[in-house]
Amino acid sequence: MIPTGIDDEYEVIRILQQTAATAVLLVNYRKIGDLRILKAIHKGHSGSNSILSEAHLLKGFKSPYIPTIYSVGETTEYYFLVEEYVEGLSLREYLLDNKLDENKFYDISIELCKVLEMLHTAGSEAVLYRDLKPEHVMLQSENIKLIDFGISVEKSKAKEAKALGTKSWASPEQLENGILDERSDIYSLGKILEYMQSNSSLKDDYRLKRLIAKAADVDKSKRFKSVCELKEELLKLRGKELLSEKFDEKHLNVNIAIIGADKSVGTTHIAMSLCSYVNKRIDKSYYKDMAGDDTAIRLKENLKNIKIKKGVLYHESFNALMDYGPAVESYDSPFGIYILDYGYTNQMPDADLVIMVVGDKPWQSKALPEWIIDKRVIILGNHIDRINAIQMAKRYRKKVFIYPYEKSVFKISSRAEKIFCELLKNRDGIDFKK
Amino acid sequence: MILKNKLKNTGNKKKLKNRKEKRSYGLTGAGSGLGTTHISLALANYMHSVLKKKVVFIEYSSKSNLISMFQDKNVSLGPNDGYMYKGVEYLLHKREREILDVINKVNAYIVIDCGCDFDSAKAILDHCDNKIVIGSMKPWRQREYIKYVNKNIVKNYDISKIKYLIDGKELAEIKLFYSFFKRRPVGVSNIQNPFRLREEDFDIINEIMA
Repeated sequence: MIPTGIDDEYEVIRILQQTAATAVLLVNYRKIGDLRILKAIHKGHSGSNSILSEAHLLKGFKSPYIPTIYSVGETTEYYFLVEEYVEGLSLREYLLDNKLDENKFYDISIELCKVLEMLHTAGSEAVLYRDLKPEHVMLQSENIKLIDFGISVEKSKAKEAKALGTKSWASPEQLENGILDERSDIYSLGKILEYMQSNSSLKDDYRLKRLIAKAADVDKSKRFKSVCELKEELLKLRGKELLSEKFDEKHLNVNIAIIGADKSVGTTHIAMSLCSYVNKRIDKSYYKDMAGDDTAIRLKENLKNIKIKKGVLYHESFNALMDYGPAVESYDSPFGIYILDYGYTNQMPDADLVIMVVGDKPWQSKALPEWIIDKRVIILGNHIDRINAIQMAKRYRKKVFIYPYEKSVFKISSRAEKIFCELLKNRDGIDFKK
Repeated sequence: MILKNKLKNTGNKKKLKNRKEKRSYGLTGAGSGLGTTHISLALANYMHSVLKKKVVFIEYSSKSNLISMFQDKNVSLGPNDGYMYKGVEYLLHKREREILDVINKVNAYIVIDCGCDFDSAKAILDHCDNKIVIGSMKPWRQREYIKYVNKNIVKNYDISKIKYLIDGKELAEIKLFYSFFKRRPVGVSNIQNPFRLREEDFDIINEIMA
């Protein structure tokens, strides 16, 4: 059934699913030519409220893990809900043609934990998803997305919820209309992990099997108490302890902040040179303008021999992240070492290493912020006098490195390379290429 | 006195520099359904989201196609009381006088979708720094395009200062247009969504702006 009365706004592209009283349609939103999903249900259908409850449940969430709800409406006969069209393959489709390697297995597993963790903890009360199965997990280039919240409920209302769910994925208590809590979703997640493991190179990993068996135990009291607990176990198995929320993020990037003690002390020059150096000698590195100076745009306009691909500008051994506005398709951040150019600021940035660039011209400020004493902060004098560097080192009880005068940003002299090498030596997360 | 003059000249240079930053683009279509609004929107969004410019989009039409897009969204108002969407300010339902005021007074990149009624949009186009004409050299529409250029553009402007766009990148169509006007048109295709531009779209938009 295709609901009538929506033609003005939506053009039906494809029927994805339909019954006598319900339909899931891929539609074109005529006003802006955007593909969307329209779910419709006949008002006379016993589950007609599910559309409203889905919208109600998701309205508070703004997360990359779940589709955006655009609108809820009704025609004379139907309720309908319009949400983001999630492109990509479902986990089920993906595993038909692919086998997961270790990295991919853990990437998806940990992402799945995060989605459930978000649902269980983000709102005023936990939302139980209740329909976790491979068809509902959409794999995008770097993210996953959960779709179809039709039978999800708030924990306090789970008692009144009908015993719905998909056999072999839903927990026994869910199918038997028992008391539900977060552990019910953990069971389904365990079943998904089991399914993924059987289609992966980790088929015979007994430690993983034990962990999955615990998650998908029929007796819910024996399961993990929270998704967070399960996620930590997965991270441990992967060989990476849960150090901090930053490292918990899928990209284990190292951030190096470059800050100017004053304006025009050469922060951008040094940041770009450092980026080139790291790219050549250490690992993939990306320059990012944090000061809002549109540096990447100006590089695009002024540099020759550039290539822009997936939000990254490439020039010789230098890479810069383009800072596109909202009307450009978004691209996933690449993995690597980020060189963050903060320009002149007094705020201590959140970074693994902070390089404070100072000058010694008479008109330049000599006062450095109090946080200069932090272990992560290094002082780098840009082409400063040696005596001034010694005085500064005494004042701040820190070694002051001297960066030489450099004509070119991208062709770095051996003297400058030596300084960069010293700055980055023995820093966590930065391993030099052999 | 000499010093005074020097200072005066420096001031003028500064003024000129500011003036240079101010750019207006008027787009007109040789007929309806040629994608004038689509390309105008792509241009405006590119200028803001990629080039980071302050951009005002003006739809010059008695019947706005865009108004409904903002009415059901909770969009905020911009400095000129237009709708702000993805960083671009949209001025809809404006009269000729008001548009000319914006072109002259607002310090921003201005993109004007003039639609396909040349006579009513002429006064506005006259004031645009860049004039862009959109048409098609497809067999069933080429006559309309050639007639439009001959009747409206050749008569009123220096045709070498106008940018011509055609839909599609067929070499034969580009050559055909060239044979009439000795100007090479820009072939435009495949900008799928002007509100969600892709990097593949950038080159063509740059060419339109050049």
